[in-house]
Amino acid sequence: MSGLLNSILAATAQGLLWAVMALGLYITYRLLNFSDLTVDGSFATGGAITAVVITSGGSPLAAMGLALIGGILAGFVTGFLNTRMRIPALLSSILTQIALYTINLRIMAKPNIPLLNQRTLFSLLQDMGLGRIGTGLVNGLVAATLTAVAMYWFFGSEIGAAIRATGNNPAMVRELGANTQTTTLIGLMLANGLVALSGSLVSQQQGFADVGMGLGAIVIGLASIIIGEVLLPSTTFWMRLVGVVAGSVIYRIVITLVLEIPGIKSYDLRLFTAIIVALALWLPQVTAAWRQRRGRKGQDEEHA
Amino acid sequence: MLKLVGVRKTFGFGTLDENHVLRGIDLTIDAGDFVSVIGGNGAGKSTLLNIISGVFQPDVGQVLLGDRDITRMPEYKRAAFFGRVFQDPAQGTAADMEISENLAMASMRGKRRGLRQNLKKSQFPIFRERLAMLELGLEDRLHQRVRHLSGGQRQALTLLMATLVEPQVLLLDEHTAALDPKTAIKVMEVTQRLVSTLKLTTLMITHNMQQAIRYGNRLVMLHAGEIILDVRDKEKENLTVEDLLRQFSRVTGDEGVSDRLLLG
Repeated sequence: MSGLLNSILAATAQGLLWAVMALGLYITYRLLNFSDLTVDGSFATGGAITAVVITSGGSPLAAMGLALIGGILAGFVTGFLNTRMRIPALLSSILTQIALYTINLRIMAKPNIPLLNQRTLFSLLQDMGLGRIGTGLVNGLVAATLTAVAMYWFFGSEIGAAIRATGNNPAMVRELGANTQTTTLIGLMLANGLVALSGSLVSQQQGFADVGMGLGAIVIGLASIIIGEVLLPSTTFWMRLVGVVAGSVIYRIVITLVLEIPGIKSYDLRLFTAIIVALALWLPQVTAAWRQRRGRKGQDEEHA
Repeated sequence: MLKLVGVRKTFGFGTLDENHVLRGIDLTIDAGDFVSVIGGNGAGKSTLLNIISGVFQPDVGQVLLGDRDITRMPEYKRAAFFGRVFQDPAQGTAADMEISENLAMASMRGKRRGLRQNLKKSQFPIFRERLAMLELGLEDRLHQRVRHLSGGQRQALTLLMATLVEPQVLLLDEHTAALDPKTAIKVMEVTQRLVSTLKLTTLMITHNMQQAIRYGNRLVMLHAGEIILDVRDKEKENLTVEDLLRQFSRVTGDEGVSDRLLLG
């Protein structure tokens, strides 16, 4: 039993660290209405930069700062392709994602860098006597909370409001005198900055950076966002951010529980996640169709 | 105040679909004018408005505001001068944001946006006062999301947003055309109230002849990209729908077109 409890706590910690990525994805997917596949690459960029900085003796905080900047640059490239070169959103982000695969390998010079016995944000807390899971929980909670608070503040600002409105109604934003190319660019940069920061945290927690660590990050992020929205149907902006964090934690717990089922292999998870997300994306259509049918039936009965 | 000089615009230049939408428009709008622009489908009304607001740039000709040549200025930079209301009620507001947030964004029209909070408590009394002018009870629903408003309410809110920072010219692009007749009349009343209270220079595109005759001190008729009628004040007050139809047939030499224009 305590074994299961431990794995659920470990999953919670992981969920909190990945929540930073899901919050970043929330900026593009929900606020900007921009399908940004850059994240699969920029998540690994965060890990790659962190591993290189830490193994060459840099401090964990410096590594995270540089990872953030790396992610911001990746977001800038996607934004540039989209707003200046007029390449459609999906395609721009795929191009950046592919390009980042090379860049990440160039940063790391090999596909995998271990961080065992290195000074990381996690080893620092563990040295202070906190257990492995406790460290993950503290770091995750601090990172997710700080990110959500910062996002709440920023998207309540004049620039932040213009970015949110861009996803809602770009014509209105231009009509009010804000440049939607700029708001899109800023949104993409912030989003990928957070995604890379999350990659940095995850690589430190798992003890290595791998060029493939971002594979499927977008789908995991989507799953977190959608789980959050189903559990905490949109109320205030703050609650929607909390929903994303909760969604990320629940996703990890569900995954942990699924892995307990005999015969399930860890490589089955991506298929499982894809099915969950497909069903979750389908759900709103089903409920709408169901409501439509119920409405039609009601009218028929009235006329009968 | 606002001046168009020899403005021409052709779409699909050099293709089979080549379409000369504006064929040399000269129009001067004086401060305080309320101009109704009328014309059938394809007359070039919307293109005219889009050239003023910077959505399109003319192929030839100039757009002057006061002493300033704004012909090549991008759309978002012209926001400081113009407030706009579109035909589609969904186009003027951000549906997922609150009424207060929409108004707060509109209060930054054409200004530099920074990291100050968008919602400023000090602005709320002004928001309430303006919303009360609509007589729709929206002043008590500041924190409601715009998604929950009806088309007419959204259009009225857009009007407020277009005039919150007083524009040099208010541009209305068939802003009642998508509403049911009753709501359309209400929104026109609100428009008239705002225009006269704030003494706004206004350019209204419409294809509704009665509306064009009833509102404004000046009426401009467009046909096939040219101005075929421009009357103001006394002369405009005596204008009837029959006069407009007669004028239209005389210019176009087409008798059967009246219905199309009236209904189009």
